[in-house]
Amino acid sequence: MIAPLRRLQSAARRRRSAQVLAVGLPWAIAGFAAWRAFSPATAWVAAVALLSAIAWRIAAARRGIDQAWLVHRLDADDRALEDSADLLFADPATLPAVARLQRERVLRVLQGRATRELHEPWPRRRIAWACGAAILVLAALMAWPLASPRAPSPPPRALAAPAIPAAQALIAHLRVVPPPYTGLPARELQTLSARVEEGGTLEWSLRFVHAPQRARLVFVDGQRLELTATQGTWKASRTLARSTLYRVEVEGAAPLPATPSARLEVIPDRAPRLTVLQPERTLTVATEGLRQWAIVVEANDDYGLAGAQLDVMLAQGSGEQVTVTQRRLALAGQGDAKRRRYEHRVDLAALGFAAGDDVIAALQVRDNRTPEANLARSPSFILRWPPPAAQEGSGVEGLVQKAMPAYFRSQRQIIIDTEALIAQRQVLAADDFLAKSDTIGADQRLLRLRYGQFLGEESEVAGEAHADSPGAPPGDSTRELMAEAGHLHDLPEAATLLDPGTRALLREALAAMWEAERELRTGAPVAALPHERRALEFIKRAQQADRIYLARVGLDLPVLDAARRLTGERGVLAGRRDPAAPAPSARVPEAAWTALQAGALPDLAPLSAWAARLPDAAPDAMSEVAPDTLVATPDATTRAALDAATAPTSVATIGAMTDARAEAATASTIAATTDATTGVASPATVTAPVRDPLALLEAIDALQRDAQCVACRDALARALWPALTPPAAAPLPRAKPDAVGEAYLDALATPEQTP
Amino acid sequence: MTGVGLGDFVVDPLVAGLLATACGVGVALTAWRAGRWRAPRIALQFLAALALLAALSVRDAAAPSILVVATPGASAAAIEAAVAAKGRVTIVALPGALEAGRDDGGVRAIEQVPDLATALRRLQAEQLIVVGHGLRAHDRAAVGDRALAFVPAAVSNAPAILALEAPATVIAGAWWTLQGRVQGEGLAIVLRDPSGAQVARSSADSQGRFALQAVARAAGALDFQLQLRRGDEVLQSLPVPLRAEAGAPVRALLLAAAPSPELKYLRRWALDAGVPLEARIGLAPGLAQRRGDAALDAAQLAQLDLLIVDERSWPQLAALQPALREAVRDGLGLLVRVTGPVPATTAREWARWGLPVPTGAQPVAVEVAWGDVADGRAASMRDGAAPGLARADIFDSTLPRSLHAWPVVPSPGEAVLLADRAGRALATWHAFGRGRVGSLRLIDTHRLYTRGARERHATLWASAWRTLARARATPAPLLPQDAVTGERVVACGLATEAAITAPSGTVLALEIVDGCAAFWPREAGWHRIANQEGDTRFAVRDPARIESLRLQAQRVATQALVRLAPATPLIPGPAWTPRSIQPDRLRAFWLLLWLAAAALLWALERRA
Repeated sequence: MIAPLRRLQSAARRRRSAQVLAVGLPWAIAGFAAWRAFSPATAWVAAVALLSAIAWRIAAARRGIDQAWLVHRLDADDRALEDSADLLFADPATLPAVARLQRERVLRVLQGRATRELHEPWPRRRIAWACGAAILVLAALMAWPLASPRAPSPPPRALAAPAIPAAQALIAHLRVVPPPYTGLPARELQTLSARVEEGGTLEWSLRFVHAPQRARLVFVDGQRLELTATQGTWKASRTLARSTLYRVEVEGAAPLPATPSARLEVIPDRAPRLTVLQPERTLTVATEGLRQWAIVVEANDDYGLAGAQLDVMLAQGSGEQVTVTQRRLALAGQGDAKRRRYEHRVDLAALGFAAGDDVIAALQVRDNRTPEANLARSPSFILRWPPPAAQEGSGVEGLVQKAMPAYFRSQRQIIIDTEALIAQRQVLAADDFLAKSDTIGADQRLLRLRYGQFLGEESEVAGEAHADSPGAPPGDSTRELMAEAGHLHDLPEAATLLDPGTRALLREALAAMWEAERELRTGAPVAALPHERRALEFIKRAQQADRIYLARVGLDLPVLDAARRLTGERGVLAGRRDPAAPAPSARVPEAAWTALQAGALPDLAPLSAWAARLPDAAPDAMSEVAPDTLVATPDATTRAALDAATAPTSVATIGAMTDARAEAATASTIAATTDATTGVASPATVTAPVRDPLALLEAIDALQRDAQCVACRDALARALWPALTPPAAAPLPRAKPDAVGEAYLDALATPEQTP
Repeated sequence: MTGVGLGDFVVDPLVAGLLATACGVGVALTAWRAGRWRAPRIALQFLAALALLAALSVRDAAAPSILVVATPGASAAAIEAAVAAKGRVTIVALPGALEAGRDDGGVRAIEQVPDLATALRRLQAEQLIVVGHGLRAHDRAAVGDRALAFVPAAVSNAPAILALEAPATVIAGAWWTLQGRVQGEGLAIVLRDPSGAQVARSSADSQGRFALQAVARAAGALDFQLQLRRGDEVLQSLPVPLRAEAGAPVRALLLAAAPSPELKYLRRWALDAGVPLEARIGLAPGLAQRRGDAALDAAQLAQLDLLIVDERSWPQLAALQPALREAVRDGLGLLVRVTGPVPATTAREWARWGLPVPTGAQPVAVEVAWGDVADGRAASMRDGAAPGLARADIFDSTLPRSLHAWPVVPSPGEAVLLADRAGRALATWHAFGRGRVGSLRLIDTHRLYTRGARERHATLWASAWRTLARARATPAPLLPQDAVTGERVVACGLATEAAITAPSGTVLALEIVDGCAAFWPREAGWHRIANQEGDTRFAVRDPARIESLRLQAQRVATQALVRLAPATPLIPGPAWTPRSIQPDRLRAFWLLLWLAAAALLWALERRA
């Protein structure tokens, strides 16, 4: 009889569990969701906690349904049991008789009732509350702005995609047509960047994904090239003389994505390179019986050689009686167009070469560049037949000075050059005209400095070069000649050799040369011509005023001022201005570098102007330098570098030898030394050529477009680095020792060092 | 308090004080109250207190204990080998150690500690065995005077740059030298300038040493790069950050007996470098060419920073000798140019100044060793270079080397400023009070200029002037030299307020204590310290990029600690035999004694 009751009890337990679950689960879900929203990482902790709470509640609820509960429920449900249900669970044997009777009665009542349900009804209201609250919490969580994690939501742009047109793009087609003289075929490229032969033509054909209304090419120097459309293809063409950068700009359509500017690199046409095989030295001393003088030069060029000319000059006579005859021969040469060997034997007998004469030869070779051919000149080579040794009279030893040619232009030659330049004015481009005028100005400067030496002015004609690098002894007589030429200006007495009248004349000449140089440097040779003539006139008068045998004239010393003598007063004497000037500092790239290092924005306008003037780097510029061979290639790069550096000595030595013997005789004879402490010019600073001017332009361009871009500043600094001229190192100051350091040094002092 | 067989004791004063107080109170109470067996009870009080004190004070280790410190690179086998030493050994692992070998079943229980100082605080070790690549700087500082043994990890044979010695600060326009050591055969070392162009290339000698030179083209923060190459393959690439500084004017006076090209180019250099150089160059007896209006007197000498004299103009200073001595003692620099034979009187005076006296009748040809002129630290640093790093000479056939110098009798105690390849000093100096006195025997440095090595000429003179001229710059902040990201760096010599700007622009105010401040850089690159004096910059490198350098430096520095540590035998034989009574048993003994005394005391108290 007890078993059915037990079944009822377990049914009631199951129901109670279900009820707890039904009420607790919504709360648990809501709680878990809220926890997870605010702390996703620890959500599993919440899950475990909530589930164990429910489990604990269920266990507690099940424990509540025990025998007492069953008895209570049976008694409460059925009056017929007469509050005696507890008797059912007692052992009948232990009961008193009355109780046993009552138990049987209850059993009968219970058996009369077929089925009973003891479990409690569902707590509908509480379940509804729980579900409602959970739904409210979940809804609140969904609306909560911070709670929902954003990551998984699809990007909203995807929905709006059809409204925005896809990114602009273009299909580039570039045709590079090298200039015809190069003989190279045209080539097709599928990129915007290209390497182009100098003077080559570029033809753009661009097709855009979204057709614009207008399109143009914007070059880094500000030039614009409009593209014209034909059937959807935008075309333009341009001839390129210098490397540049450009961008494609469109109007009326989506802009192109921001990319670095496209590069157009120009491959410059090199001047022919000459290698002189014979003679081996610039100065050859002729020996008896020499009939012919061989000159062998090999030339090569990147596209082709055009013509070669040999200048042969014969200088006869000595002192002021020098006559010069010049001949120009066209040489054919052997070999192909790119590499030729020129050979010529100068017939000395036919020239009338005699003792005391010089033959000077130089070869110039042109290439086939159009419109203007590159010209390369070899150094001038001298064949000298030394004059018989002069018989010096007794008593004049040391005063007879041998006349030696100096390797720079004479005033007369400068006038001739200037006149030739004025005649060419109409056919020359403005830049070339200026460059040539500047070159003559440089010659004028050299001459001025040379004469200036006699007056004790600043000397920039380096005597060190020939004094310090004698090289291999070419022969006894040559070495003697060299030695004489090298140290003439070391004679200390020379500065006092000129009488006041000659000094005044030379001063006038120098003043005129100054004027002439200024005009030439500014590209006004016409204005320079009168000054040049005036200078020549003064020089000639000075030459006639002075003789070589100075001792016969005697020194014309100033009369002693007896009143001032031996007083030690120097009041009247004023110190001379120090002619030495510091090296120029802070050129454009240095200024920009300093600004970048200080974290400031450099002044970009002068910087880009400077960068635009940089010569295009030759592709193998660095490997071409061959200092040991007698090669002269005054191509654009070196000429520009030399000009910029105002390095007169190198220009002078590379340049051709002239017929300056008359003036040079004067110059060498009176060669004087200047004060050793004053006469050093500021150094010729030839900076290394910027390897990649385009990268520099690119960096400047990038910074111009975005001044705040830190990476662009770094890129600009990197690009500027090769262009910087190292300053003369100045000593870093040592830090002053502190009190302890001073005490230490004092303690270290030996007795000899203490007072 | 050491008793044979009863253990070593370390008495904590606090514990002893507390026990003495308690014992005193107990004795006083016993004496105060009436009762039986007073005297035994008082005696028992003392006995209990003493036993408790002894139990609390028994020291753990009767013999010096060994701590095996595993550092990164330590292998399980190496640790086992270190542990194989007899005695009590505790193993700790520093961060980064054993990460690879953790799954190795043979490794014992190893405690991970954040740093060595923590380990030493917790475990009273007196001797350390370091296994692996070595200790980092902060761990090395924690070693103190403990005995230390180092079991270096096996070094890989892969080609790498092991050491690098580059100046942190160079002079703009001057040559600077970079030296180092590589491992591997047939390697080329290439120095690239900030634009990426190759400026110097060298190969290592038989010992792996190399030296490279370059010119800093401009002042600023420069990022050079050192590459280790085999053929065209770049094996390693190290950043070499440099700070190039422009020099500052130095007031100098040049006294010379006659004009010479040497003076002409010296003046040219001074003009270009912006250094005011006043000159008195003799032309004839009693007639001198002057630049500047320097009068030679004591007041003028006090104003000057450097006085340059040659042996022929030295007699001009005869009347000024006391004043000159006084001025040099106060900091004036004196440079004596030896240009010819020295008269006997001058030689005697020079000897009094401690200057070397020239010998011989002719200047001799010398081959200048340029490797040592490059930075201001000069050849006197030769012996102070990092261990295992000797100075290599730079030999470049394009350099003008052959100059002329007067031979001299070297005087002891001179620091060498410039030497020739045979090791003869060409320029030396020594301290004279607060000033410096130097002598230069080269007579034709101008040849450097005329042969196109203008920067060499400037470097030589700038280095000589810097060494000798009066020290009058305010001390610059002491910036960290080898800063890497994630490691503490310290900057000293800072004013009251300073801030650091990181490369990304983050500004961090520094907390300055005694002029120093520390911080942990997070980004690699140039950091700017804004100070009252102005901005200074220092470089922070990414440790991953200079891993080989750091490992080698750690190894060398840890090895140096082995030498520095006291010469106690690391693994003493007899001292390590276990004692008859172990510390635990001793403690138990004393505790039982205390318990017995206390129990007896309790019983007597109950009965009393």
